Amino acid sequence: MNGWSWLRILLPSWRFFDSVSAPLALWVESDGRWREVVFPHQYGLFCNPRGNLSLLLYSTLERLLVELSEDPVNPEQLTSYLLVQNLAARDAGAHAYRFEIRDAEHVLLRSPLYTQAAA
Amino acid sequence: MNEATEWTARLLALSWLLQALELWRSRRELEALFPWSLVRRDYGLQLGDAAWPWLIALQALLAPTLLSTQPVFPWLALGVALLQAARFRGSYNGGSDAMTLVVLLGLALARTFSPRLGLAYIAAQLVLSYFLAGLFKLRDPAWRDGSALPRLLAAPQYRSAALHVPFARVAGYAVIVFECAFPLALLDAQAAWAFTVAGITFHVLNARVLGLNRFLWAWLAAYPALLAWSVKT
Repeated sequence: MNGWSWLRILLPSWRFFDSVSAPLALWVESDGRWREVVFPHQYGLFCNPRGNLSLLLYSTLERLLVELSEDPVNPEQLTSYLLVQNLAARDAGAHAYRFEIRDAEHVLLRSPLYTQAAA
Repeated sequence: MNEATEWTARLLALSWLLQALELWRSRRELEALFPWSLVRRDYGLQLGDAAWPWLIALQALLAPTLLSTQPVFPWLALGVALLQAARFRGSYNGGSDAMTLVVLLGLALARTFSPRLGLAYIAAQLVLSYFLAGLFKLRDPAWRDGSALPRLLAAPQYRSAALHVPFARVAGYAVIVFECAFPLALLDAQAAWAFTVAGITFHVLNARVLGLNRFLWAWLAAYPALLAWSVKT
């Protein structure tokens, strides 16, 4: 998936929720504790900045898994990976951390341990 | 056709302005959680972070100009919308961005060449958006056995919504029937109005239950084209 693949938006496929996959979750370990990063759900008919930001971040998890299925060799070179890592780093605060993407039953991606300086 | 073009312009201006306000309100969080400094790796560009708020401001300023009959404004807006798409690696909010681009391009065609051409493009994409979405759902066993919508509503990004749709299984079938039947809206004006009312209700519910408010306004801007073409046929 190259950087200009977003131009596909000009030819919309109109596939909305055509397959409902297992829900994903981002888990972060810092200070020896694992916790789930929560994407808050909000409503607003006219303006819903928080809710739409959550949808954007959640879709980044989904996109990372798609990109990993296409190029599993160097995940840390993927922009989606760096975006998810950025989320995990912010959640971890000043501590060393690692993160996982999980569905209900499996760990789908496990990162190495990062220090904040490396992030 | 001219009246439909003006309604398209009004609703698109409103939709695009709301999108700009939404982006402006979350710009700091977006820059922290979805930073351009990481996204720009995709393009090899050195465009700085400071350009991003200006792009949102430009969108807000251009939105009212869509009411003008000058063809240059929808083309400019289309350019800004494409830059926004690049900023978010394709889209900020999935199909709502795609439909916004469709209506912007349709309005640009209507203002530059003829309203018939622009509205035909928008109406065709509107019908396709529902019909293809319905067909793709029909291919999925979970949608066919009624389990897809309850599972979707239980997903983390929507999880609190499960409480609001006790009849999710029946609603799932209703969505497929509505989407697959949508081309019937082209048959005559009464059918078009019936599908318009049903479609707006569908998007209001999506906004309420799934938080997909941008879809409501983006799709609303496409409906005048459908009404114009159904009257013609």
